Amino acid sequence: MINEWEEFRAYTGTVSYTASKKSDTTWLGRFTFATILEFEGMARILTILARGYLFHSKDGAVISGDLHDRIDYARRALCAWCSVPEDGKRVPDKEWQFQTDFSELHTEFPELVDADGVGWFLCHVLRIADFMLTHPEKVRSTSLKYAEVIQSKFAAAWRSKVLQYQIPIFAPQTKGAWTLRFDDVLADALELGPLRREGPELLPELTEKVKAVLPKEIPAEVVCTLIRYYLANRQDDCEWVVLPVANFDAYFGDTSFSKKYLPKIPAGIVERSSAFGISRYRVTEEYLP
Amino acid sequence: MDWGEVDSNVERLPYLAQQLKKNTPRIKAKPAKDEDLFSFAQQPDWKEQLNPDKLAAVAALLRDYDACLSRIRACRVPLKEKKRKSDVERILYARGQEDAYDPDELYALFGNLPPEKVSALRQVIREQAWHLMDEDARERFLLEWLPEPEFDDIYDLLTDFRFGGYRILGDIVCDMEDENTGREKKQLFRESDSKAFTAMMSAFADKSASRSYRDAVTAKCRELLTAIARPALAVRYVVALGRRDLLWELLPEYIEKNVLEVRDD
Repeated sequence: MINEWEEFRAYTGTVSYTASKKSDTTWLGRFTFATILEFEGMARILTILARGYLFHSKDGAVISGDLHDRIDYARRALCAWCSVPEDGKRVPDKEWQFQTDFSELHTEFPELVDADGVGWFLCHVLRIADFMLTHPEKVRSTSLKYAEVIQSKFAAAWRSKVLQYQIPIFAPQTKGAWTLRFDDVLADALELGPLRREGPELLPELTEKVKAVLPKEIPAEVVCTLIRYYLANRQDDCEWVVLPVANFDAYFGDTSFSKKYLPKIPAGIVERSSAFGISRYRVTEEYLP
Repeated sequence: MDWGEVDSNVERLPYLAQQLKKNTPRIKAKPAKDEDLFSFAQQPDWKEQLNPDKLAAVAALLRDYDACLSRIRACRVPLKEKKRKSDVERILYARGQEDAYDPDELYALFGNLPPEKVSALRQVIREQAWHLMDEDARERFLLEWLPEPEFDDIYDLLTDFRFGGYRILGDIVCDMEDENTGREKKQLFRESDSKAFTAMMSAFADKSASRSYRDAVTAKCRELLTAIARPALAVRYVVALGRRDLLWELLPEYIEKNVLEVRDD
């Protein structure tokens, strides 16, 4: 969450479909079922992707030059990552209809979409389902039930989501006000700039201080990461920082972060508030370096 | 879930309802032929005997009648206003500015702009890709499009693109335009309406409070219809146009004379 370049690599690189034991979710990559089934946290994922392609060359170096020339390139990268082959029922015969099969981008982004139009995300999700069905002994039973849902329903759900992403911003007759579109993703990416590689580290004394007051069931690493994320993202004019809960879950490996740890972090360290679907937090002065 | 194991009929209700839906064949309308119902339709060339001008006039009147009822219903639905306000609130909240700006005041500010300007603004923020503009371009854009002094105070807000801030201008402008077009659509009378349409709409507008909207419009339509063809004949025109569903509304007293006896076979 602090090293965004690493996060970008987790969304575009090779995932190891392995698990040493049931609690090991290496095979999920940096995703949770909330993202796969409900598309939670997708705004941040797509924005990280867009920033990676807007501002960086393949080796990660920051590119200089006119950004506006690269917006179309970043949009194509998003399309490639999201690509889903058509289901045959719908023929995009009219110019204004959006497509979901971006196999034509395979030569430009071989790492994001294959020649059949299966994009990185779809491919990853299908391999997750494969892994669960071939290694049920290595998967929690609560997760196992999702395998068949994914195989039967995911592609169609993702296809309709990808159609929605392509609706132009400020279009007339747009019904939902909170829908995510590629236009929003690209605008946010421009605003946020290049991906962060290094973040603030905490002094050992502060880490010790946090450890001393935390209830036993909360790992100190969780709270220290929250403090570092706060320092990295705090704006000059606002003491609140928006907390991307779904993405933090994926970072820590499962939903323990949002379900178990977050509600129990003492308000003396982290204060939280949420409204309009946004969760935000501030770290008390005492626990800031 | 295995419904076979559920023995409480109340708990089985959703399952039973689903089975009922699944196993009930859809009803397909099989309308009787005109010649099976109406005495005048016994002659094979009855449609040809109708006056084509009158037929066209009745067709136009029935179209107006449907359109008039439909507009009245549409105008009764309350306008859903400011659909995107919660998005504005959300952006302000993400930036900790929920106490610094009042979304209602922002909307009020844009509410003073003439509708043409709002439409033009909506078009131009799309065409010029407001959401992708760099900071200088944003400022220039606002100076060109919102030069009025009352907007000075919110330039900082509108040009702050953090947390989707580019959407604040878009959200408000889109909502204002939807409201303007919504209000236009809610007008009962419009210039392009035909005479017959206006007459029926006036009947609705002038009706007494206790009378139903449908009743008022239907009475006027009947009056206009029987001015084109006398009622007994008008039945033929309505049937010829495939609108026998309207007979009970428009010509109830003249149906009987025109229908055949019901056979029980």
